[in-house]
Amino acid sequence: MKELTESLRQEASRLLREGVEVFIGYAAGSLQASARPFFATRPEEAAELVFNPFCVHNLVKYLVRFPDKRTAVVVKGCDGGAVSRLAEERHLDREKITVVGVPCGGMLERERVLAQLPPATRIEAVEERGNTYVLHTARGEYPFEKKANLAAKCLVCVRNNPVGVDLLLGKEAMPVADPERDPLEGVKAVEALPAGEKAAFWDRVFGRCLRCYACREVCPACSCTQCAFEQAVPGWQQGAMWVEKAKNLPDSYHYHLIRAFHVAGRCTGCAECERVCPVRIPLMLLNQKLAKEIEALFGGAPAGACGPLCAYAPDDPDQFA
Amino acid sequence: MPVKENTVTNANAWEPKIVAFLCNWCSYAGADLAGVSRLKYPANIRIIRVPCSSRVNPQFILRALQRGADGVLVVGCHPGDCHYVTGNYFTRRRLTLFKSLLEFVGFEPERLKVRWVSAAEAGRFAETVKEMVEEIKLLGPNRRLQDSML
Repeated sequence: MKELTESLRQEASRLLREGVEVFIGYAAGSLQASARPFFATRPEEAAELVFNPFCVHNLVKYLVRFPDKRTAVVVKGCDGGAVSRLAEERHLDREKITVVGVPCGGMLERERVLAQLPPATRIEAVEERGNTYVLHTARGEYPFEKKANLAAKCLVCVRNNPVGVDLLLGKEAMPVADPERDPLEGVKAVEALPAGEKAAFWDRVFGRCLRCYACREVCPACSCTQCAFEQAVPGWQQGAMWVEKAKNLPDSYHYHLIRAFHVAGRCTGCAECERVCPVRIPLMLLNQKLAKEIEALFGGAPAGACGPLCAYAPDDPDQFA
Repeated sequence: MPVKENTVTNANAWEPKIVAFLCNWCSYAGADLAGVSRLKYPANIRIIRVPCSSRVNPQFILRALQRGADGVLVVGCHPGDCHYVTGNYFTRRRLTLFKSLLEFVGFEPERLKVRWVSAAEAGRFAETVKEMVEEIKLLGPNRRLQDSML
């Protein structure tokens, strides 16, 4: 991890000297075992950049905030799709962005790390030894086996090495995915439930939604300049908002089904929606379910920038005839 | 003028409410033909005319169910016959997918029905409505998604 961080700092400082105005990367977080998004604007600030298995964020959506600037952004394999998604939909000018790819051996689940680490232990360095991350602290070394401690999405990840980037740092990462684990096992488990239990499951899950819209804010596919759920409506339509501000279950259903549907076929699978959810709603179940259905129903047909729902084939399956 | 008594035989019997979105060019004309031909079908549907079945945003469907509908029927031209050439091809993809999503969250898929009915198929329209009303009667009222304020 040390060499990777070093080369990241070198490249960032070079890019910032060569005309990049904002370099978006990660810096050490103020809390134990965390990282935070970091916006470097001067070459000397590059020294604060890091890359370690706590750099969970997908930084790509921040690019939308700098439409007129020359920017560079650090992406992991799972974040890479977000750049092309936003560029295809013309929210980003790909010409102005330098995409810096970092190979990733998986992100550690922060809760698991904190549970095993003595409190207030500062992590001095992280070392990747094959299938284990070793955290070096003042009180000694703490090994974390990947299989037991990685975030759920990393355990089925096959995109460890980013593609379509302008600059690839470090050595190629070895895949960490367990080939025996089915990436869709969660979806299949819900599908297998009888209708009544499905309803009870989702009532429980959506019942805890706070409607904070964090899942929408963070999503690289949720990029409408005006969201359907926050439309300014003319006076005579004031009562015509799609969902009320107050929290209630039917509106939460409405919001979540439509959110998932709006990103259907455009979701890049970065699972940020699920990560930022303060009440742990398994949003990827909905996204993966739709991706699975799209693949099964319209898989072969070519789709344009806005995905398979903006396209059609005359011989699509027809269950309505 | 005296107001006519409700013709429902058992005043307590629950009758489903179904919101039907009909495309202006085929299905609305098909429903019109059903009326002109004096075909009988249950009076449980509330027809909303839309320019094309692809005008039906999935949010319309959810909103209808939230505001008291027990089922939603979307009717459009047969694929290939769309007045706007390709509109109903998009409807077909969209609503096939949306229906599977509704099923995934434990919602009875029968509450959303999509059919293709041309302007000449009055009989098919009447049959579709009859069929749907029977299905919804078996399911009972929609309480799951209904707004509590109602």
